[in-house]
Amino acid sequence: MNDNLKINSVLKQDITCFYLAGQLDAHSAPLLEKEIENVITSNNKLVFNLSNLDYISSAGLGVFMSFIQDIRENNGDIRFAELNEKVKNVMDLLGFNHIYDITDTEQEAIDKYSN
Amino acid sequence: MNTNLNHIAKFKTFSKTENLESIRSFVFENSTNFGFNEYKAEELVLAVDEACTNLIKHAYKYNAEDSIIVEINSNENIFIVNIIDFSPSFDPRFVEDPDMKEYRDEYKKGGLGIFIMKSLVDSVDYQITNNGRIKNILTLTKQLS
Repeated sequence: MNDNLKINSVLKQDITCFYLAGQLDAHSAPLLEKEIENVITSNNKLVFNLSNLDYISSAGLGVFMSFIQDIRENNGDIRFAELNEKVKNVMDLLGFNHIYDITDTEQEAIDKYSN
Repeated sequence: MNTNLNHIAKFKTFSKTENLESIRSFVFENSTNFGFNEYKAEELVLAVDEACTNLIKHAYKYNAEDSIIVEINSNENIFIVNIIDFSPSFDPRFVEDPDMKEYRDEYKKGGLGIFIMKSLVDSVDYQITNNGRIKNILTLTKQLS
């Protein structure tokens, strides 16, 4: 089950970096939802490194949309880094670049939390 | 328009999210064989994924015994994907596009699949037949340029 998406997370200082690999679609979206739910009980500064994410559909993007308001109200954020072109195209289509901070490197995304 | 319709391939599967990946592979393979570059093929893949995801979630309500048929035809340089289901009817053409500004400002979730689908293909058509059993055919077309 859900073997089309691998999720790893690493705590770097007070920021949780998620590494998504594979495909984020209607099948794997519930898995990511659970992972985020688990993490935000203790930490809501999140960075998603998407360098190994090959595919995203609206079901995947919907996961981020469902958390962002609560996270920001609690002084946290969701930031994206290292998108491949395919994923970037879908995010651009839905205007994600206007809603979220998207950076070329994971380090930039981390650094922005301390600014 | 259907005078020179060529049948290319057909894929039948059950209405489960775990089958989305094989639907995507089927569409990608056939659209690249037809001549689309990888970028355009991926647009078709995503459009079909969004249509099938909607079927699985909203039309079939996750009933895994229902079936989805993806049929690919062509008419000269037009690639035609028929997505066939047997659920009570729902016509996505008449779903209004979401207000993108409102969606961004209010962090709305969902409802974006149809918007994505309509953005990535040239046309979206829908027909219902009912010969004792309802059959819905959603047709997506994309021209090879």
